[in-house]
Amino acid sequence: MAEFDIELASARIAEQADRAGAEASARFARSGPVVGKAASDGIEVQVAPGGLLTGLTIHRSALRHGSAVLADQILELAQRATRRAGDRMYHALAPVVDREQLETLGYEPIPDDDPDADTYTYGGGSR
Amino acid sequence: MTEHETDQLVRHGLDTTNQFAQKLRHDPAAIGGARDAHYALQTSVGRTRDVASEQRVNLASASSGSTTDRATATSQSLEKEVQDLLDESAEIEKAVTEAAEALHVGEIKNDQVRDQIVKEISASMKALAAVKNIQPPESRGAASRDILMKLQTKITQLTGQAATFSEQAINELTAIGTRLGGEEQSTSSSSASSTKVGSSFNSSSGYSGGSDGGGGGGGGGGAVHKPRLPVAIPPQPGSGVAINLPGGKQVMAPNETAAKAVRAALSQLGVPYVWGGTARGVGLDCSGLVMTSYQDAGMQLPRTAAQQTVGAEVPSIDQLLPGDLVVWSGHVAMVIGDGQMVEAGDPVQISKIRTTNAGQSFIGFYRPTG
Repeated sequence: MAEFDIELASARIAEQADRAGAEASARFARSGPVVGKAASDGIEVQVAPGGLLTGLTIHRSALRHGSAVLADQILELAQRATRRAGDRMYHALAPVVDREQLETLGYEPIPDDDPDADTYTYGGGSR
Repeated sequence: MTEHETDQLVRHGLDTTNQFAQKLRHDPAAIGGARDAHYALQTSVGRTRDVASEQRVNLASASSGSTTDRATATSQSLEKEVQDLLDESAEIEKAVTEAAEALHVGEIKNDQVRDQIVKEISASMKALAAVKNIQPPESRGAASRDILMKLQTKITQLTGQAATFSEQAINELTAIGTRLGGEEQSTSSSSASSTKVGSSFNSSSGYSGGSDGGGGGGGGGGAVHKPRLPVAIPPQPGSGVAINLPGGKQVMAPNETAAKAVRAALSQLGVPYVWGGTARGVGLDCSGLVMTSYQDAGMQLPRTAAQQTVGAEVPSIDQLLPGDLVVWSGHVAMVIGDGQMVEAGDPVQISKIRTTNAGQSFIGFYRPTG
């Protein structure tokens, strides 16, 4: 049996990773930055993949329900936006990265009949 | 992630499987050598039998009388002993072949685990390269961390599997060795009643007595490894750390490390048995329970049961203290005091201290902190 060649293995892994990185970068360049958005009742939430809050707009009309309702709505919208960002990441990266890795990152497709399914048209996106 | 870091990660991730590979790979050569040497021994013993038989025929045809009859009878009995030796020799040869096979299987399984680790690292590296493109850059850190943590868990799990396969191969070898060791006993009893051959009759023969048989069997019996260690000293006045057992009884461990290890092991009661498991609270095997419990106490033990013969040897069962280990060729348990021990059966449980374990050979009692 041939001795295991650790240098070759790590060189091959580095090369595959480089290729995956380049491919992902090209796909993101075509689609524009991936974000997740959700809006309702005068509140708009925008998150980066993974859930980092990157934008929040609250219209004056949303304030009339009181602070507790407002907080709940923001939380719910943030979760929905995160799922949508995950869904978009999933579709962007599925050809490049293993399913299991996407799952680890929380990038999962949202079924069409799911209430969180993406009915919002993103700037530049065509799906 | 730079090329250098990838290289480091691959090296680190494969460290354990490579160590096992070394261990498993060296031994087949030794086994092959043993087998060849054995063939040579068999051939030479076979020649001895032929020479003795030839001499008997010559003697019988050249002379007659009661002296000749006695000599002929002696020779016949000698030939029978040599034949017994040859039969036993065939047993040893079979065992050597089985041992080689066990090692081979161990090697293949180890290689499979290593391939799996390489695959996991590769998939994670690809994912890491991809998430480098996420905007804004602040969210990349969390994503990379998720990927690397998952990878670490995977590698730990796979390494545990490799350890189990390696332990299994060693256990199989031990079992083969033990079997041969048992047969060695029958050899020594037969050589005790060995045929006495007159020196004049034997002058031209190469046969040197029954000791060859004992030597041949002895080689196989050495597979259960028992290290030479200092003898553990009894607890001294004023030393010792108290532990409360689940039954409410209080016992004294010899030191803080042993006490912590016992408490850590007791915290795992009810955890299911998982072969090769080292995940506390999730799934453990016998040596995994012992290793991780001592790890929690700040002491690193080897991974497999038969290697956990470390520290000092406790000479007898009545000198056992909490934290001591009861070690068999393929099992290990930790003494908790009050005549009881904790072991990873399914699930982790407390049982009475014993020295038998389903036909495995008992190696001894050990105090890792001794």
